[in-house]
Amino acid sequence: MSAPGNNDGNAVGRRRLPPPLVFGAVVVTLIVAVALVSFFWTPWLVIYTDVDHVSAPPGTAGHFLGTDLRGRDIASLLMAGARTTLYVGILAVGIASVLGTPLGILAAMIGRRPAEWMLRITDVLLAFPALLLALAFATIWGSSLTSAMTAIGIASIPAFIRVVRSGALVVMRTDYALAARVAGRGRVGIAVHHVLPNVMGLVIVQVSVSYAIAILAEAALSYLGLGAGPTTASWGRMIYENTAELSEHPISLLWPGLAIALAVLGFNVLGDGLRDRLDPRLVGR
Amino acid sequence: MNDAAALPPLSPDAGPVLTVTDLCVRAGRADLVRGVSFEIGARERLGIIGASGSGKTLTCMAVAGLLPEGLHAAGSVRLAGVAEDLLGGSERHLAAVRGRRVGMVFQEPMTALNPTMNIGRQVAEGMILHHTRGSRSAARAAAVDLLASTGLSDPRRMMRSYPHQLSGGQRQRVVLAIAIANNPDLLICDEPTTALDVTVQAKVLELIAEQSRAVDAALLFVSHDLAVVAALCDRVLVMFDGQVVESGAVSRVLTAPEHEHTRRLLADSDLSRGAL
Repeated sequence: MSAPGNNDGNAVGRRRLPPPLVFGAVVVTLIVAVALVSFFWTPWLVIYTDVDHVSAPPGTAGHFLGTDLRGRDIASLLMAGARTTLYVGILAVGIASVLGTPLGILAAMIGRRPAEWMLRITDVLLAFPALLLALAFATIWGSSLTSAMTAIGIASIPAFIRVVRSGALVVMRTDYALAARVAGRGRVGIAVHHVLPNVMGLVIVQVSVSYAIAILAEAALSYLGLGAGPTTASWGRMIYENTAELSEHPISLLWPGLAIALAVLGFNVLGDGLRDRLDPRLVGR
Repeated sequence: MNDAAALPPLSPDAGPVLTVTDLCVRAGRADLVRGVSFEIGARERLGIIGASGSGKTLTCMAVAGLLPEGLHAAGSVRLAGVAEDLLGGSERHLAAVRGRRVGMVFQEPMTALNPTMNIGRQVAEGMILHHTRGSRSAARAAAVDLLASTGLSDPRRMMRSYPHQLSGGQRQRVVLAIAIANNPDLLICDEPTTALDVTVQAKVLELIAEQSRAVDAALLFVSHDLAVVAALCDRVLVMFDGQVVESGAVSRVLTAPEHEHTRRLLADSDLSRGAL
């Protein structure tokens, strides 16, 4: 999984991992672990409403982080919300990377003029705010997590095209890509065997950065009531539902807010850390 | 190694392997290479020397059809046994012809191999692509032989290695093995030893000479180092500012240079310092 020109990969590997990278990896692993555990176990049933302890402070009657204004256990909701967070990220980033990566490689290989056209079209998409696109999708197909995240995924394609294209252009001018052309390898062969494996480092970085954006977008859309429905546990939706009691019980808003902040920070920091390790321009010769 | 030959063999006096006539390379309105003409006979070793920016690498790239986008070549480049001009033909067809008849060794061994592919696949790739060894497994077996013939120890283990596990000299040997895998008629070397240290340089040069002889390939060797060209080549072109300023037998050009630029190159080289 080495990036182009990263030829002292094993020398770098022996060096100590930078703390931000470790932090990002730990946070992301934690979220994945929590989401997986929530399938089998949560402290309370997510749908259970403890009518005797509504808006209870942390530690009340076995509610570790307290309850929300309907008496649901906040810790359990947070755990189940991690699931939603991961799902939306996988959907949005999956769409963006699966479409954006080949398009980026294509843009690097089709020659300057057609590539210019492609990038101008990309720019139009880029100028269109992701949330606005999601609003449009919600209007057309009804508000659901899937439609919201499809919109976010489509809006993230331009970033992939740009990043992958710039990496692919570098690979296309490396001696091994030239040698493959001399050897008579076709364009598709070069794209699959030489370009794609060598831009994977950049793709991984972009995945983690886009993931953070998708999480934030999901929270924002769910807060606006355009994402997760009432039956889905979502951090954004938790904030939305508890806003009514902001003045009396601010603490029930704090937890999902913290969870979102931590997840976004985790994915961003992981992306930055990976970029430092995988980007050939920063690694140097 | 000649079981691979599917093309009519070249007879020793079949005329030049490569004929370049009036080659020009343009970037927009600027001429980077102007009116370069030369021939390389079968098994002949031609050197091109010149300072950086003199157009020697561009000349190579134009011959190999690898000019970066935005640069255009004019003139004519012909390979023996190929009817069409290599400039201006359909890329797809010419790529197939070139891949079979031209091998290339690059300047920088660090970027000449794909870091994500093991050595075995990279060496076998060209042979599989052109079906010169029959089957995939035959190509892999041939790759082991090729690696062994370039003096790499333990070629079987080498087949499974990745480029980052190899030293610069080892990589350049692998690149050479790839270049000669299909018994090319022409081997193009673009400063193949510049990035290597001196002791490894001599070995790699020796190997290039030996291997090009073994597969009966003519050699087009680009360097800024006169000592290297003197040791390896029969004939030499001196390039300056995109033009050939002097050409002739190596012994003549290096002992009795006619052009002022050749004299300057000679004065700057290790050759004259060694003679003092």
